[in-house]
Amino acid sequence: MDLQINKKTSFDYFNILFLFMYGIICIFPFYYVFIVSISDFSQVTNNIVFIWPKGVNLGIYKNIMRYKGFTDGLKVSVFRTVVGTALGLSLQTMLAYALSKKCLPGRRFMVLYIIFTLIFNGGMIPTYIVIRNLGLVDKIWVLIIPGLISSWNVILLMSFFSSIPVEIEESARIDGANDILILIKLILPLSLPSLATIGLFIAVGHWNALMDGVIYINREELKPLQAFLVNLVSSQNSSMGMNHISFSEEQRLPPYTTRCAIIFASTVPILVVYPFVQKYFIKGLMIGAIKG
Amino acid sequence: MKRKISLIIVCVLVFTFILSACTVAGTKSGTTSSDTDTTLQDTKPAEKIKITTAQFLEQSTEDYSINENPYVDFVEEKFNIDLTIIRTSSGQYGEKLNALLAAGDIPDLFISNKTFIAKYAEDGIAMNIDSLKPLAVNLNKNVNEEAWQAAMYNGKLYAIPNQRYDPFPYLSFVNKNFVETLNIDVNNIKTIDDYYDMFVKFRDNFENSIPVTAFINWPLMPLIDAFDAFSYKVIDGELLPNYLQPQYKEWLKFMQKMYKEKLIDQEFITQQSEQTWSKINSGKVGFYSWFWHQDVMVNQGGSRDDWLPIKPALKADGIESKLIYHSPARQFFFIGSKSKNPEKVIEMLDWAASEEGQLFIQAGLEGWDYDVKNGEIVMREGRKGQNMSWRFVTIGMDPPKLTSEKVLGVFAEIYGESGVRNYQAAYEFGGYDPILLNIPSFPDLDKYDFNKMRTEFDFNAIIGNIGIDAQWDSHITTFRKNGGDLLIDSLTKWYNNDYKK
Repeated sequence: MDLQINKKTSFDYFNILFLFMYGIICIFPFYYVFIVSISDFSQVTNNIVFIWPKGVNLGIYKNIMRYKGFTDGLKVSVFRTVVGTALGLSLQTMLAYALSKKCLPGRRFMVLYIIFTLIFNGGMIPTYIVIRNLGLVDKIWVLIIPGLISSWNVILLMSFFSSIPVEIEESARIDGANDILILIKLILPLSLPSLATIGLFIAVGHWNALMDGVIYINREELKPLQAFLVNLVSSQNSSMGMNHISFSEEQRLPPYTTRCAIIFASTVPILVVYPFVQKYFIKGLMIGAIKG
Repeated sequence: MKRKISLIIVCVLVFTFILSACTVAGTKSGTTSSDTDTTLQDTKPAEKIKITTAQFLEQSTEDYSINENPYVDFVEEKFNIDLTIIRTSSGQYGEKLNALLAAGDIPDLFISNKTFIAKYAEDGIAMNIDSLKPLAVNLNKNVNEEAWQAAMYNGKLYAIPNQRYDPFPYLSFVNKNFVETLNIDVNNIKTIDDYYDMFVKFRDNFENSIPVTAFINWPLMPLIDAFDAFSYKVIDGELLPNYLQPQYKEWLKFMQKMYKEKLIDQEFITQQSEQTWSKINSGKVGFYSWFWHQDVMVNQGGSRDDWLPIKPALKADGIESKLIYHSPARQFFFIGSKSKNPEKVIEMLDWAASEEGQLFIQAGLEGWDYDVKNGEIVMREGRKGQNMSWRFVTIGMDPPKLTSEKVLGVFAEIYGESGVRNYQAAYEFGGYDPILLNIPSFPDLDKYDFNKMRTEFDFNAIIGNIGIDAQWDSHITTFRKNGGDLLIDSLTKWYNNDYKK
């Protein structure tokens, strides 16, 4: 019987091959961007670089790291990602948990209120005016506070919490647990896969966010990494046009390889998060399997 | 396990709040910059004037903040001001400026293009500066009258044209090695036929050569005015864009012939600019057009000495053609309607056109960027040509002309002899179309993609996918049907009612 199970069919081989190829397709763009970034520019423009880097030179990463704007931006982006994700996830979880309770007075109004903001938003300029009047312009918190509650995430979490059997909570309540204890000790551990997913959404959103840093922040040292990266890429593009010479000999970076280095450098930190979150996805799947 | 998870969550939250608190403190110390400003202001002379400008700058500021650096210190001291520059990259500048203007945070000085003059004037965002213009002595002396005219709306001046010292920056170059080997004197290349013969010689005498290469946005530039196919013209009572005129058709046919005979780079439509530059620096290209400074080529290891500037071909009637640039003013500077000190803003901008201002932008600061030895300016190691955009953004605008020997000396040191030669050639060979310079924007026509219709036809024509003679009339009919008639009508009305007056 075991032999039967272990025996691989041609369909399995096809599957393995297909998934392997699919994996290559997913990974290759990252790999290609990396090898281009460390290759000699002339080799890249001559289309010689494909599988292996040519004329390896890691100096380009040194150049990028040398920019104060990069290190400042990195700090701001890490801060907003860590703090923004922690606060956002906490508040969204609490809101969604409360709203998942059908007995909550005014629940219907509040849910509609949240859905309304999902469909309509104030637009850039009214939002700017509100934020300016709140005194948030040029403060680091402007990168975090306006996006603390995401309607979409709240609705997802609400539907997840609603699917948890009420009996579990009732049993805890019989044991003397209050709402907060139930949320922390019972609901959150059961919800780790969905929390991990939402947390990842928030973190990636914070990491990639550009326009809030551009619109609400004037001070250079508070600009997120993405604003710096856009500046750098634009400077490479504008040097193709009519701007003055602005890079000294050692600062002159070949545009395409630079862009690749920047893209790679800005992608790595957020990619690092995925493996840590992935275990919760797997755990979630296992929970389901055991129950099944 | 549950206890462990709870502990982790609590730890994360505590850590977050501690971190947040630290950052608040950090932010406060950051904001202390404004607090400190206030404190400093107490000790600063009371008459310091606050000036806020909105600019775009992508270039590095050598790890200095755009608002705290030796250039800003110099400008603040010189004009006794407290300068704040709101900086974004050019890509985000429009949105940032819109947000500032809509919220009523109108900077004292901001930059935009010609299409916004009417809007800013009508919305009361830009200040009417007719009464301030006489204060700009240096600008009045050096900025072209056409550029000032372009900054007017309903007969009133609402902006200061940013006419750079290279108002006509385009230039065409031939490969020095090619012409020397073939014993061609570029001064004898005068007509379109001369150009054509030269390209044929390039192709036939140099193996694997590319007689002409071009950038995707640029293929229309070289030789087009020699066909009289660049300027807008009144034909049969209608003001027609160049690309709807019969002369343009003739130019397309010439380009098609060049392409068919492999005189033009066969990949110019599909290749990236990096590949074009790589070809140019490979020594295989015979002719190309670009900005006079050839900065990308030089940055990628090429040398200006390997290329000779060449005069545009004569028109059929023997008149000199030009390398046409859209406007001598690249952008326009607006003084915000809420500015309390517009005179100070004008003073700063006007200073950029003075000898001292030109020197500041071209050379930088004495003791940091250059030294003066025996009365001569000697650029410091690694400072040649550095930070010019940064200084220009700090003071507000570019000098409209390089007028003094001292400044031209620095300019020559930055660009070398061949760079100066190119600059002078671009000035001599360049021009603009006065009608094109003054055409306003027509917001009602924004829904039509005229450029797409035009370029699709152009590229298909050049690479020989379509017969130009056979398709031209139907192309014009289609273009007119798809918004072209409205465009021509708007242009003609503007021409008759406004421009001619």
